[in-house]
Amino acid sequence: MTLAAWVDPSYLQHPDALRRRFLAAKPFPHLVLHDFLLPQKAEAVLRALKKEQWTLKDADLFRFKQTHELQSSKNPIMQEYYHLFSSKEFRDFVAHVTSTHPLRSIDAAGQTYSNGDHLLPHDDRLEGRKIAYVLNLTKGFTARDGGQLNFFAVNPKTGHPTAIVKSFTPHFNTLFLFKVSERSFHQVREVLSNKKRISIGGWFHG
Amino acid sequence: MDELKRWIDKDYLNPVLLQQIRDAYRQQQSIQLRAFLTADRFKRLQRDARRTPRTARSVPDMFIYDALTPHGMVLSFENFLRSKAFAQFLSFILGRKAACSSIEWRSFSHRHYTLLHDKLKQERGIYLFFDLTARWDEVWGGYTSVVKNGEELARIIPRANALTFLTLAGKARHFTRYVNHKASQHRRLVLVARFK
Repeated sequence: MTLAAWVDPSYLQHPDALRRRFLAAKPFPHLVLHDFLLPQKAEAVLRALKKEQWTLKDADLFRFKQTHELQSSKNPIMQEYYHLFSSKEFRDFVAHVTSTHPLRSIDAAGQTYSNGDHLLPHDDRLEGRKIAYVLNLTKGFTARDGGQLNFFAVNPKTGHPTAIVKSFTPHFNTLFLFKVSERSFHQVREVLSNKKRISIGGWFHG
Repeated sequence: MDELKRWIDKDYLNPVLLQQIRDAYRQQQSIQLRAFLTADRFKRLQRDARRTPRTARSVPDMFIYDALTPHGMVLSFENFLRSKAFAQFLSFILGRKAACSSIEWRSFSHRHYTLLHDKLKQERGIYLFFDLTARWDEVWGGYTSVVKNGEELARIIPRANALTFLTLAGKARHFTRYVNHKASQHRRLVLVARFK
């Protein structure tokens, strides 16, 4: 399997430009890649993801539904997707555009946010996590539906997040990549309607 | 005793009931006393609390809520909780001496919460929650959850004039669940106190 069979070719042609964008992004290095997968692949992944088993995750920090690790999926499309994202070719691509070497492995799980579901501010830091990613597969969301991915500014003296400085309404087939660090505070704003926010997320580990 | 009678519903000063409460607390390490204050005092407390100025407290990776600056009946009730008379009342139920070490009035509405942050020190002791909120639906969030090693041990659903106290020991900690948009304009007013 090659990346070209899955990923929009425009992203593969100019990795250095992506790298410059990633490193220059504020409030911490990140990339937002719209229409990342070829359209028919993105549709196939969404169809397959919806068929996975979902479990409610409910704690002080979050409330949403999640699949098991997609590595163990029996669905051929999900297997293909996982093999692509975990392939050396893709890991090397992400390592290049994020200037983070080496990226040895990934994890991946689906998340669905329903009315009232949320993920409160946190920085994602845990041993080995280098780059966080979210492939958004949500359709039909507008700003009124909530579910935005928010990035926070950080008070350099306290190290705590202060205000939301970037906000992204979920769009189908958009890949987010961001560097996990003491500055990478983010949240998923509460979903405010009966629409479902669906995505695949995880981390590239060093 | 006079001060207790002025504040606390007379049923809770009945020695037989008090002994039952003490026994129940010894077994469960938590208890909720409903209709705790006299109706008149509670009504005045509720009225003054609604008028009390609020100050935003926000460290988004730890908590977001409003803190009340006590005055009027709100301050009087706070002083009552710090009084010798209340300490004796509480000590009888707990079966040991108890002294008030902190009191905070908190207001939770849409987008408010507290988190179990590693850096946020939560000391062991007896925690007391007193709710002023007349109508609250659990699906709005905003309730207090007591957890230990990821497992929920107890949940305090806001209920007007209910005093809940519980022992936080070992790794047990409490947080206030995120208040979602279904709460609309509703607001939970709760006193959180710690006794040593």
